Amino acid sequence: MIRASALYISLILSMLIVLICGSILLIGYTYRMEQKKQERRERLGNNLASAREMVLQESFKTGVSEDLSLFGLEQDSVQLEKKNWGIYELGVMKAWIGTDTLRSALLMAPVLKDSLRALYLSDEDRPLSISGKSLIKGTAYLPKSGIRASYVEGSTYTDKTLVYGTTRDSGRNMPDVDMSLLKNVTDLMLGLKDSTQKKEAFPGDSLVNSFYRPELKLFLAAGHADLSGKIIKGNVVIVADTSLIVDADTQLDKVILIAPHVAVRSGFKGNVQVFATDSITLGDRVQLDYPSALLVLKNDTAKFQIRIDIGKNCKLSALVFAYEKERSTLMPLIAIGSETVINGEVFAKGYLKFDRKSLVQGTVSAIRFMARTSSSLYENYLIDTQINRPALSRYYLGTKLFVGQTLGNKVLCRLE
Amino acid sequence: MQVGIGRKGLKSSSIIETIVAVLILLISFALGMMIYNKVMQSTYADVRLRANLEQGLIADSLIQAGTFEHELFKRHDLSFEVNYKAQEGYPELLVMDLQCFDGAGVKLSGITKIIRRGDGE
Repeated sequence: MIRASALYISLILSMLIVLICGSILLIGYTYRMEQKKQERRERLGNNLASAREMVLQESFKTGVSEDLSLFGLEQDSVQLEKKNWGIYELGVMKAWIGTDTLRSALLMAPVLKDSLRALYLSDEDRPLSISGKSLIKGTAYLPKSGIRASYVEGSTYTDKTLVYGTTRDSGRNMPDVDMSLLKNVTDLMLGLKDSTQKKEAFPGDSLVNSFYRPELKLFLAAGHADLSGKIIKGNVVIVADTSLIVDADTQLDKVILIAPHVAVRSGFKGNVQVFATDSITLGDRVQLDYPSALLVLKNDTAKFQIRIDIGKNCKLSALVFAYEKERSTLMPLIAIGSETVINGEVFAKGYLKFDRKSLVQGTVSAIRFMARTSSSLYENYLIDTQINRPALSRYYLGTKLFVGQTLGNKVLCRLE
Repeated sequence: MQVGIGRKGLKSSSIIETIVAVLILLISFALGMMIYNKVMQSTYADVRLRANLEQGLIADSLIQAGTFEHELFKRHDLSFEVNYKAQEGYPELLVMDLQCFDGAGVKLSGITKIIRRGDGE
């Protein structure tokens, strides 16, 4: 017998319809929520981009942290922060709507005003001599006595053109350095003199600190300043009051090292800013990735020659900088090993010594050049050395250390 | 009531049962349609999505062009209006306000962002 109960069947059908409608409603609601989330994300992304433009401006002062409403509307709250990170500036931006937050951290640096400046040699009333397979490509600022081809140890200058680019007269002094930025750098080094600071051993094998978090400064005790096998990444400053050793198996990423002497052993690869008061020594085959920096700054009271020694076959994408405030008899020295390639800027308020087959793709500035051969040391000679400014990437950004040589800021790299 | 068809017997429903069943079904359908319409209205319309996508494209193109002047223009069936004003305290920056409307003048989407005057260079 088949029962034909219409009410019973209609109830079941109604339930089915309600279930289907409920499902559609749920799907629609979920879709709507996702869409709203996407919209908020887009808006936050736009707000973050706007915040970034503000932080990149010179008018936004370094050392400032500010909360503001971008357009005076709802849903446009941002937090901006700009501070120094070694020779560069660090920007941290946060945009939020309710509990949704997007944030971004970046290093910024200025665009170089003169994209062709290859060489600056202070005028000491003697010419620059060029020999062997040397090359100067770009604008050369030379002493009034000019440049001449020379015959050194059986070889003469192989080319006919002395400078591939324009030559201009240099001054007696080196280009001006921004003393306020230099003061920031020296302030960084004050930690070396802080005898009250508690010194400690390196905690564990690795140290990673996000740039969204406060800076982590680690004062290494004497006897613990060897970073062999350590992994250090991010917002970390390592200070040692003796000699700091970086080995080939050390991993450094965006880290700052401060010590009187820093020794980077052969084979090291990484990204680091090194600040020293006495010397920096790089072994052979060292690779420093952009943006890196090697800076030696002489204490006013020091009676010795500060120096940066770069080994053979190194590849540096970095600023190399040796500086003393008042000129002394023992001027700072930067020595570049043979077959070493530097992409960036080399500035020595003193001597700049090239070994044969060294190459600078960028700008070099010095009071005096030196060239070493197997038997002699020549002053104001370039022997088998190439300085090629156009070979430097057009995306290379400089530093504000050099007064009047830069334009507005751009993003150097993004940070985590 | 029971009517025998061959050897099987079918139990029929009364007129009241049928009316109630039809009513329940009608109410369920009406409710279903209402919910369905509401869902369809509340979800993101195609045109709104397109407006959103196109406004991003147009904003990028305008920044690249680097003219930074008030402009009204149409793209397919959508109208766009862009305005710029100076960002207080930052002479190098501009606030770009780009709005998108449909044919009836209803605002579909908008974007406000700070741009650099030299971005187009």
